[in-house]
Amino acid sequence: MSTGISDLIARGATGRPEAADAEPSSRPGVPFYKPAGTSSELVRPALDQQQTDVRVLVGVDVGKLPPVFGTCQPPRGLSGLMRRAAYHIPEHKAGRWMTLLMADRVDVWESRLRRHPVLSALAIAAVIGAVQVRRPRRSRLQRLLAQLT
Amino acid sequence: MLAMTYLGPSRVKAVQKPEPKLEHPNDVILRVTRAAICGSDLHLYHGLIPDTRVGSTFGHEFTGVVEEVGSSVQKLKRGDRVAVPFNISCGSCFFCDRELYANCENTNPSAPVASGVFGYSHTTGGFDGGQAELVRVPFADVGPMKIPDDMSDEDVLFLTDIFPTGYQAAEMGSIARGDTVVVFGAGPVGLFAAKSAWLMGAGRVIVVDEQEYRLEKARQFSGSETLNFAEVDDVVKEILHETDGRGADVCIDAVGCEASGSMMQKFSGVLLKMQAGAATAINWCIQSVRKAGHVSIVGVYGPPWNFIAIGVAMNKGITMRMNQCNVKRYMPHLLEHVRQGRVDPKAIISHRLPLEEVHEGYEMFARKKDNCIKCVLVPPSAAA
Repeated sequence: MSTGISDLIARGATGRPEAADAEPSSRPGVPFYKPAGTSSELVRPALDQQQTDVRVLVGVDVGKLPPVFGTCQPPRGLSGLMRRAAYHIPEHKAGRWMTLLMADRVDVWESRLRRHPVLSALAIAAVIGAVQVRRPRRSRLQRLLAQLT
Repeated sequence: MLAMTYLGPSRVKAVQKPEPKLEHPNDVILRVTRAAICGSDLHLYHGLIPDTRVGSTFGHEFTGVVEEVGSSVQKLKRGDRVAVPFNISCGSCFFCDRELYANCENTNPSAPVASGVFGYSHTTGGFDGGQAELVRVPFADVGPMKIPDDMSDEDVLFLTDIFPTGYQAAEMGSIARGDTVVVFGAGPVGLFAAKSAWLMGAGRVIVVDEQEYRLEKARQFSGSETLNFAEVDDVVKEILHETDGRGADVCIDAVGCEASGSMMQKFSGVLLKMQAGAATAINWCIQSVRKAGHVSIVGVYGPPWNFIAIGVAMNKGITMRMNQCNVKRYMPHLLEHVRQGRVDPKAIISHRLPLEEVHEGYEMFARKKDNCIKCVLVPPSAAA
């Protein structure tokens, strides 16, 4: 690939550049809020509705699917149910984001179960076994008291 | 195709995934040539952004070659080399019509708070990102910019996010000739914010961080003064001292929700998640800026809230401005700065890794190993 101006560009690697944009009017974002029609040179694609068979959650504040959206990782399992519930909560409520963060953690555990079912079953069995082993045995006196009561 | 895949907090891997398809008449499919790991990807990587689903592909800074073109696409054809802004924007809604592409209303089914963003959780639309061999690019007539024939992909890669973000950060500070500008964060966005502050005529630029190698980079890349907050008792006091007790004219938060420097903020925000990450940098900005000064925020914070010293801001009469970057608005202007040799964005690249080693890239960037400033991923098809 041609990089004919690379030597020139490399000069910008170090130090202070000249104050080429000292005049605020030379800055693209001044004013920040511009009048309608500012982006008139753009090609404006028709807002055709994207079609999909994938389940996509729509936030209660949005109401309907926008013209385009992502279709990766559709909701599923317990985390999917939690996410669906969260999307019914308005975005200005903390409950929405807390539920989503919890769903994210559940999603991680679900994915581990799906990827390593045998290993996960063994890990769960090991934890249950460890709890059983660690359960303190009742002394003879405790057993006697239990019978009396 | 090979793609970076999220497996859970601090766990990512390159795995084989199905190839993306055209899903809308104005889509294109891009064969990725370069994809960078952004500092804000680390918030996803650490599980701080709600609705980050296992199996997602991150990546919102990428260049590529058009592979497949939707039926209504007018501007692009197969074989075009393009740089793609991280915002996905329709080009015609109320906000796009005012060049506020980051606030587009037509690309995010999740929440009106943000537009669609490539590879940045379902909170910003559920689009897969560009840390992959192929990526779907919606509204291809609006966002992508053709790469001039005489420029390499790496010359323009950072026009997709961090350079415009740093520039917008400086611009939102309303910098006037001779102003003292303090930039919190010597990561890539902070470096570009510092460089942009000079472009806007700043008289003094001070970059604050705790990583010495990053401060060294700030001195070298942007010719700024630096302050290591880990080496002083009180960073705010230090800045006030440096500015005749008044404070800086402009303070920029280029850190975001994983800031160090305050045990209380880190504990409540990052560990307990009682707030949307640590708001340390915003508070330092508010406390370090002069009365009637400008605070500009481009650091990323998740919903729903943060502990901010808003009473101090009110009493000092500070103007606070913030937004995700409207990348498309800045691309032609900044391309000209690159072309004129004022800024060489690729000079901040510290590591190039094959996509297969994406997990190492994330770990290195997250743990700041090997003096990592910016890591660029090269897909197998682009490495040949």
